[in-house]
Amino acid sequence: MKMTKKQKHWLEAGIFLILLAVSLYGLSLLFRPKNNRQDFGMDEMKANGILAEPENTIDVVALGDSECALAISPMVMWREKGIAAYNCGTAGESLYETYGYLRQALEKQKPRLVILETNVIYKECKLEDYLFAKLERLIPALRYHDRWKSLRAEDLGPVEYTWQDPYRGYMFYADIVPADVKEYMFPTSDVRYIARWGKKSLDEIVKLCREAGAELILVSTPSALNWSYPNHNGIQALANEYGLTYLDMNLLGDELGIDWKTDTKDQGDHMNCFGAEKVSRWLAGWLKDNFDVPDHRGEEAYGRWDEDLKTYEAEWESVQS
Amino acid sequence: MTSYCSLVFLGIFLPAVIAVYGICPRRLRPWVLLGASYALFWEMSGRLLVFLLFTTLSVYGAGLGLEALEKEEKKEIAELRASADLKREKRAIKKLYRGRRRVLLILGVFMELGILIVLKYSSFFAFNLNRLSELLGLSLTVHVPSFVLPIGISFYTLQAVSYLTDVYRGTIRAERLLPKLALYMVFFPQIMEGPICRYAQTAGQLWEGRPVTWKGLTRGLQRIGFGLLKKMVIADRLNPAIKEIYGNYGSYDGGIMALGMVLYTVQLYMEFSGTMDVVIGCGETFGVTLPENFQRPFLSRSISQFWHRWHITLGTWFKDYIFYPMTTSGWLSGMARKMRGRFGSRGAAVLSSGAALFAVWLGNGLWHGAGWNYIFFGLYHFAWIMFENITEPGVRRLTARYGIDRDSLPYRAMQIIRTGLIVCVGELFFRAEGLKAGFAMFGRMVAGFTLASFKDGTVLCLGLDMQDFFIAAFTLLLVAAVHFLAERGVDLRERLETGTAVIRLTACLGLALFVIVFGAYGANYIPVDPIYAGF
Repeated sequence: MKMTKKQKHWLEAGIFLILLAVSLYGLSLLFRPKNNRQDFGMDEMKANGILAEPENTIDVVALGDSECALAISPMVMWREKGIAAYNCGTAGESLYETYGYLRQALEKQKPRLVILETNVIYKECKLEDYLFAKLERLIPALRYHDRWKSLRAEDLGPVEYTWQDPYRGYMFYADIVPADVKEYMFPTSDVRYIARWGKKSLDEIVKLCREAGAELILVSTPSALNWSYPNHNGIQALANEYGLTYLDMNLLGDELGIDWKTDTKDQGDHMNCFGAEKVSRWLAGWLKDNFDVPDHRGEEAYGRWDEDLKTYEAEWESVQS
Repeated sequence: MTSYCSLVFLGIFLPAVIAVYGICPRRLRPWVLLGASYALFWEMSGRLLVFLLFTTLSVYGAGLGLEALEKEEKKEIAELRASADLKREKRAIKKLYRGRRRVLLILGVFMELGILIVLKYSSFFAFNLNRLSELLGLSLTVHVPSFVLPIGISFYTLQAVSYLTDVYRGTIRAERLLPKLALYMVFFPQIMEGPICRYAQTAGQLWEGRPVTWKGLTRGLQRIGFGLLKKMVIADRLNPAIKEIYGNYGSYDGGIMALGMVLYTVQLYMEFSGTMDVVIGCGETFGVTLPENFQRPFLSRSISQFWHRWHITLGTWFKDYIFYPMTTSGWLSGMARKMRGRFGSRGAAVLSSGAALFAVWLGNGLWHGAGWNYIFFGLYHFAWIMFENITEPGVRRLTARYGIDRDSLPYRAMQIIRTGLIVCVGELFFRAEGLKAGFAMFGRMVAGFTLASFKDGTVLCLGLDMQDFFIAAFTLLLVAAVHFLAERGVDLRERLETGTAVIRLTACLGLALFVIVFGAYGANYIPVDPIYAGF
């Protein structure tokens, strides 16, 4: 049977799309980092350290931007209450990326709790970026396309994640740049609303947690520079809407005991290790008191955590002196 | 959505419009384009759409007014009775109506340009006025709020002026169908960065509602792909180094300044011509042929020729609506006549055309932006064009005397390289963060030129590594090869169309994968903003 011109055109378009899809699949296999180390092309190594954690060993996953990465120290939570947590926060993160980290974490872990640090909720989130993040997850070749610069023989082999972060994603900074702050949470009924595409990502995060049987908690860590009462009100409204627990540590005052002269690395923007110690200790107690989080201390499977705690404490002591 | 190269535009908006356009009956298709165009404008500029609507309505009204005056004139002439003074009366009526039409044209043009001037230039003028008054010790201070510009105002305003002038000149009839005129003004692929179209070029095609064809679609998509190659692989990749050099020029030597000058010229060309490829490709998918804006400008042998090949639609606009009216105006012709005795006929011609060219290049500089570096950029090109005009007869005589073949390859190559260098220097001032910075960079480049930064590795600390430079250079060679073929009349897309399916598929797949792998996009890159959309 002879094909019409139109049929030929459809066939050609179809072949083009199939070849493109096959090529992108092949490139995705090639470009995808074969290990979670930077020299293998993996970005955000600390957050991606979770990929090398043994299966189903993490009970709490913390997500968010740099506020999260610098304020929540899993090692402190381990020391205080034996909580096995991982901090997947990265600097400058947006909610559509947070969703990606959550999906990635859920591939090998079954956390009971997911902490979402709320600063990320107010990050700019454009439709363009939201869509591109989705496309990147579908076609990893788009995310790792730049790896043509660093391809090597190992890239033809299987994927094996081996790098474990002794701090479980937490970013340790000892710098002190004090903030001239006494009070920054002035009660108001003003509400800061979340951007449209950020809300869409949040919907997806909530849905994913529900599907995975993990409880999502919204937590605002202290930040004199970034946080305010309208922000608090906006997050409280979201928590009410989704039926989530919300903890705003900016309202804890003396109970938490943040000293803005010593506990911030950059004038009230982020916590340093001294602030993170206070935040993580308080958070560990609060989680233990309010949620069913197991204490894994002494368990054989968690032997490495005690080793890593020693590394953390050694650095902690070095900055104390 | 801030760029024609964005995922939202190319991945969602354009396919959706093509799909809806394609399934609609012919009479509804222009309405689909009009609706989509207004939607895109609204998405980018929101309520500032009101400025575009006002401009559209005012040129529509003024166009009809001009035509009504012409009809009235004809009617009055027709009603004249035969008499001894018939000729004189006819002349009087013609003169009367020519004056009326001219008043209406001037009013219309001033209204359109007035909006542009107030929104785009008032704060620049006020700033300079205040500086001047400060220097003179006067207490005069002008406060002008800074306005947000509707997207594409510099482009659609020139289209509006050309429409009105063409109606006045009788080149086109005034449009009675308001939506047709509106579509000409706002057609979405061209609203952000042009090309600046004439009513006779595009309005008819747009309103025809031509069908989406396989040929138009494939040719359009191929052109879009080629544009993305230029924009994403070259222009966006060079962005970090350009930002670094122009932002911190004080930290680098003359060699790096020269590099920054060349890189920015490449970036500007690749960004603008790449976007034009996307724009023209979009038009082709709807069966609409938009005018070309570039014709291998870096193969030009003189600055005059360069401007016939670079941003062509802007150049022809200035030629048709500023240069010609000025050179044919009574006062300039009179002035030329007076100067003939003193400077000879050639000298008088050069001087009178120089006056018109000055206005053109001042306008060209200002059109690009409200800043002294843009004015300098315009006048810099004016100076070179005048220099070429004045020295051309002498150069001809000299080359003839020494038997130099002006069409020989070495001579042409020398001219092309010289023109390229002049253009690059102009672009240095164009991109510099202010005129002062432009002169500082130029001075550093000339007085402090050294290759030290290339030897000690500084060049690789500008945000680009060796592989970045390599892939940008390789792609530039690919683009240059396509341009050379086009210059020799080879239409690669035509070849693909008539070639076998295997060749076609290989070429298209290769292009797509090349852009995907080597494009500078994603988390590690900040793409360059659409440069001409800012003008």
